[in-house]
Amino acid sequence: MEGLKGVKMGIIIHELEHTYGKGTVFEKTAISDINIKIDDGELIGLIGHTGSGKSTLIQHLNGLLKATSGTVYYNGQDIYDRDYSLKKLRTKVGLVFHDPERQLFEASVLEDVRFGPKNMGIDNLHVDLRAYEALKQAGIEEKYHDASPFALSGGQKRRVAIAGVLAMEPKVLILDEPTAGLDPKGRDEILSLIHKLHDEKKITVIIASHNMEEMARHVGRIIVMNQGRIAFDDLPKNVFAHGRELEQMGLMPPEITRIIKRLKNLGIPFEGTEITVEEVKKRILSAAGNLRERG
Amino acid sequence: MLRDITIGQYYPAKSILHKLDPRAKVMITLAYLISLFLFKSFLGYAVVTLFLFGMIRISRIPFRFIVKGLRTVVILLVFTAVFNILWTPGIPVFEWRFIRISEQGIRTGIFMSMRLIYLILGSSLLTLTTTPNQLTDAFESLMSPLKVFKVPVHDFAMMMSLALRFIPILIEEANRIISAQSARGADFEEGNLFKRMRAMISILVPLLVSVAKRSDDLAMAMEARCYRGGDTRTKMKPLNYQRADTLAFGVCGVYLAVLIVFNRFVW
Repeated sequence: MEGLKGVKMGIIIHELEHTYGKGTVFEKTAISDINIKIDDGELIGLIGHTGSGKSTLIQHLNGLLKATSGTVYYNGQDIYDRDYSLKKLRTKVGLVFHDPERQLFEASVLEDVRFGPKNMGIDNLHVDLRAYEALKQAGIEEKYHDASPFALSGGQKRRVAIAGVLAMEPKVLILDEPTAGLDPKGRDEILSLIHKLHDEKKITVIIASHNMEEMARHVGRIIVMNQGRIAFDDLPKNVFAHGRELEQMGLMPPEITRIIKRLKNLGIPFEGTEITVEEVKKRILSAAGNLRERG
Repeated sequence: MLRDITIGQYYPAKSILHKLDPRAKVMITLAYLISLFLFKSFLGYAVVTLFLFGMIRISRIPFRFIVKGLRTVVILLVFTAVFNILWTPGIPVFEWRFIRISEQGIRTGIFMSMRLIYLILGSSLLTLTTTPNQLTDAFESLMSPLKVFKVPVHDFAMMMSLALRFIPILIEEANRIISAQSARGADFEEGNLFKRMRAMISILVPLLVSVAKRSDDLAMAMEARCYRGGDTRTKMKPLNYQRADTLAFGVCGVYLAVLIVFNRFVW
């Protein structure tokens, strides 16, 4: 099979639809009408309320779920082609599940991280190299390598689990709610780890989350899902401009966006779509200056 | 693989079977299970088939859905059939070296596997039309005479309902873990036995950890709500027999009578 030549590398999701339990009373269409184009090296936030279909969607990207209709192209090749190796795809598209620490099972941290590359059938030396490298990237110190993964703290466990996927050296890294259930410190650590990975390894990163606040600061593009469909797919500032719609979807726009809205209601002119604290601060100061001048 | 287990899973639908008193359903299912061993003739099978499929029809559960539950016991079925066919003594109809197949063997083989299939279909019909809570209530109510002998019936019922409640949760959990390990390249279908066993460990360990944690959480939650089982507890929905239940007992009685009569006097 020759892929579509000349097409930019990346992922194309075409008319994807997934229905669970087709033909029974439990039948439920989780996602439909999904069309997304993801270029290599993007950092994307996939945002949606619980049950909006984001977890279902990301499981299609490495072929864990098969679409009811529509298809996914990875680097121009249809992953549902009969001679396409899904096992290989899974080494290229790494998926970190919700609460990934629940999939830890080996007796030691190092062994657990070795599980992924070992399954790829590479020789022991390289498995070791990858495991060490991945643990280093994930910020797990060497003294923990021989510890039981169950003895670590929540944030450490999660980083070990992420290292378990990183060790497969994926070109695309997808994380489902990577910060859920962590304390603020653990959350920051995970997010800066993801950011660092994206910057240094130039891999595509997709973060599924319901937290706009976190996404606003970290991603370059936001895809909002609502009831199994894509509601918005745009730059963060453009997405946040739809404050009311987002709230109706059960999503809380970032604090900054809400502050701007309140300031506007107070009659302070605000036209921009600033999303960082610094930008807004400047705005407020200049607005305050204007008011003082007018007396 | 695990997606196909239907035993212990409730299938919501609006049917008479769903509305029956769970005690009636449990007793009738028990009678049905015993009835499977009451006859030896093909005609008996006709009666049972009629009864079972009639019930499935009334239950409004798609036939496909019920049959799915059989997939998990296919191996057992095949073994039963093969062993009975090969090892039942009798007049041989086919002989080749050490393999000797008798007419009685074929007959017993078919009968035994049919019985197993009907056993499973019948009991899954009970669990598909009855919520775990109802089942437990029925169990507790039916077993309450044993309290005289100091049997902790309520505690057993509680344990049973918890176990039943946990089946779908654990299936879901197992599926999640399977997905997660597949994402890490684990292969549960290919490779030699040793490799596949290793892959299974990657599911079993997290599953056991999660079971231990869940039961601990549950115990804590029950403790926090001051749960004390036993006689002082009352029910929000006490069980009451209705007219439909009497009718159901009647139908069951007729079924048993027909089965016994056919077995005794016809064929």
